[in-house]
Amino acid sequence: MNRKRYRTWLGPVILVMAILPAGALFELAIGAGQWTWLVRGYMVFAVLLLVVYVVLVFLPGQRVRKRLATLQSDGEVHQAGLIHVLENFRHGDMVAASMPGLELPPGIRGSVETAINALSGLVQQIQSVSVEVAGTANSVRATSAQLASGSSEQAASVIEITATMEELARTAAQIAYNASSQAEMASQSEVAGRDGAAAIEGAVAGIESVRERMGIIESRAETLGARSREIYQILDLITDIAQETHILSLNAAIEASTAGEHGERFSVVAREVRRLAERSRESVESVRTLLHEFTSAINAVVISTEEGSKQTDVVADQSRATAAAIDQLSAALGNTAQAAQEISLATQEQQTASQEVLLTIKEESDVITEMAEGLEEFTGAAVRLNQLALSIQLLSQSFRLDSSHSLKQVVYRIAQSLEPVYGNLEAIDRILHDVFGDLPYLEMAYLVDPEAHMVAFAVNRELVNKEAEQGMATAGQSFSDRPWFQSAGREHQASVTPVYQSLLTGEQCFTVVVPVNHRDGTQKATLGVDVNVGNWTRI
Amino acid sequence: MAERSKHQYRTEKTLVVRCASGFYLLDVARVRRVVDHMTLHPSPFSVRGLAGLARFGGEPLAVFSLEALAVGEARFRDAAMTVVVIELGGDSPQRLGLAVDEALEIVSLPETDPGMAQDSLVSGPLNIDGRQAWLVNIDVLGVQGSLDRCPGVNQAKENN
Repeated sequence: MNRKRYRTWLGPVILVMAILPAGALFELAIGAGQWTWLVRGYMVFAVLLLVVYVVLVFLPGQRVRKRLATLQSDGEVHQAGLIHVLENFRHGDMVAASMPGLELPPGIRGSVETAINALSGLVQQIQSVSVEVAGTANSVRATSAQLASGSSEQAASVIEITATMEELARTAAQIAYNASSQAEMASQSEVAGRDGAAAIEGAVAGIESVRERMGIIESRAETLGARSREIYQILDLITDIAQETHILSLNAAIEASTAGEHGERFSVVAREVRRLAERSRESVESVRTLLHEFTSAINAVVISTEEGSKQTDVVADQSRATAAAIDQLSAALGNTAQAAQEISLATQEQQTASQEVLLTIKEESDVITEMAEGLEEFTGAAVRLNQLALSIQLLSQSFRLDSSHSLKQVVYRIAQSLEPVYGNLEAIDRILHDVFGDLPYLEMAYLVDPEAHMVAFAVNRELVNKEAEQGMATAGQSFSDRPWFQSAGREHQASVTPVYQSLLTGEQCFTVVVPVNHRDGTQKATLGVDVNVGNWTRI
Repeated sequence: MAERSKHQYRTEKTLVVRCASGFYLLDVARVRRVVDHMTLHPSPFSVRGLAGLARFGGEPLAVFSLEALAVGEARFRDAAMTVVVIELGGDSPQRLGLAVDEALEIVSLPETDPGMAQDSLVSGPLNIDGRQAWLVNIDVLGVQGSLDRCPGVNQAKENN
């Protein structure tokens, strides 16, 4: 610093030193008139001054100018390198920005390297954090979706429980009503049972009276039977008498017939007697017939009376059994009425409890519904968070880092592997197909020429089925209108597209494109890969 | 007696008896007595048509079943039944009992010839008050071996 100042004011000092002595010498020479000395001294002094000037000013100035030219050249180189670095910074290409061949001042290089390292680390951290955020958001979304689903099921269950409880409450009310009605009916039945028991007792008394009367009838019928038997005996006696009379009349007639004409009158008498006997016998037969009918009737009455008596006994026994049953039934109805009353009270309490439970369940249902709604919002927030994490990942992927997690770097390496074999379609195709082994989240890899025509492509069979592949991409197809191609062709830089819906899988994907350059740096092709977001974020 | 035997088939008065469903006519002149509920004792002899032995007028009386003699039917008989005591013809009159179910009446016969052989036990039939009745030839019973000429006895023999 001091040296520069010295070089700055040394020239004027020498000039002043040359002018001041020259002026002094000129005055002396004028004063002394020694012009020769004056010229000689001045010449010597001028030479000395010239030497001093050359040594002290000119030669250092030359060196300074050379140094400035060198510095200017170095500055231009450094400026170009710095522009290169900044341009790569602008495109997020940290790898290109940190290439070792660039001419940068050591301090700037160190600062640039430090900045690149810091930025790369930051981007990598952002990538890692965004991946974790995306994973966490996915987990949260899945969990909240499960919770929402569970809440929905719980809400549905609560609705079913509510319906069941309402039905239970209605049933309890119905049971209470039925029990109350049953209690009332049981009370009425109990009263009716008592009346019935009294009626049965009356009926039993009546039956006893009837049985007594039937006993009297039976006794009298038996008496009539005995009388009939006596009449039979009398009739038998009359019959015997009539028979004997008949025989006597016959014998008399026989005797009369043997008496000839004298016995004629006697025979008439005998015939009349026989007729009387005959009539007696006929009358007896008539009486016997009538008596037989009478006896039959009496027997029928006796039998009927006996049967009636037996039946009366049976009816009496049944009536007593009925009375006992009615007594038991009346007692049971009394118990039933009491039990029904208790059931009615219990079911009323149950109804009240059911209504309280119903209210509680409704409150719970409201809470669950609110929770389900909150979970749905939470799920939406998780989805948005996932989208934001994805956006951050995509933003971080806009940087090309020297990392296997940097998609640009990965695709650049593929592009670098293609550069030596460009023109060899078979090798290109093999390389494109091999990329799915290390990068299973890629749906498709393709290479297009500078005119945007498809040169080669490969489809990941693990993600894309053959039907979807049909007609989606063909060799020679033009992609000149695609934004990613325009970006790659315009900027000659790698780029990442926003997320869009894949035509191959119907899922979310984005495209990473990098230029494939000649050795002279000119672009000879563009390599693109379609990244399946779901598989990529999982990895 | 000889006078009566000339008219033995043209007797005027006959006793109508019933055996089962058949009616028979007995000559009243040959009938001695009708006994009701006569007690019969089983006979130790095995004679066709013999219903049993009884006592009549202090003497034993052989009682034959008229039905068995007439038609050969041997129905069960009560121990006491109606017996018509008849007198058989001949020099020494014999008495014989005919067991019947019932002795009905004494009727006069119409003047008709039954048209039967004299050695036949029954002849007819005759229409007596609307009933078919067979006239019994009592004299056949008084001849030695006459029982063999009874149609019922003969029929019984044939059956045996």
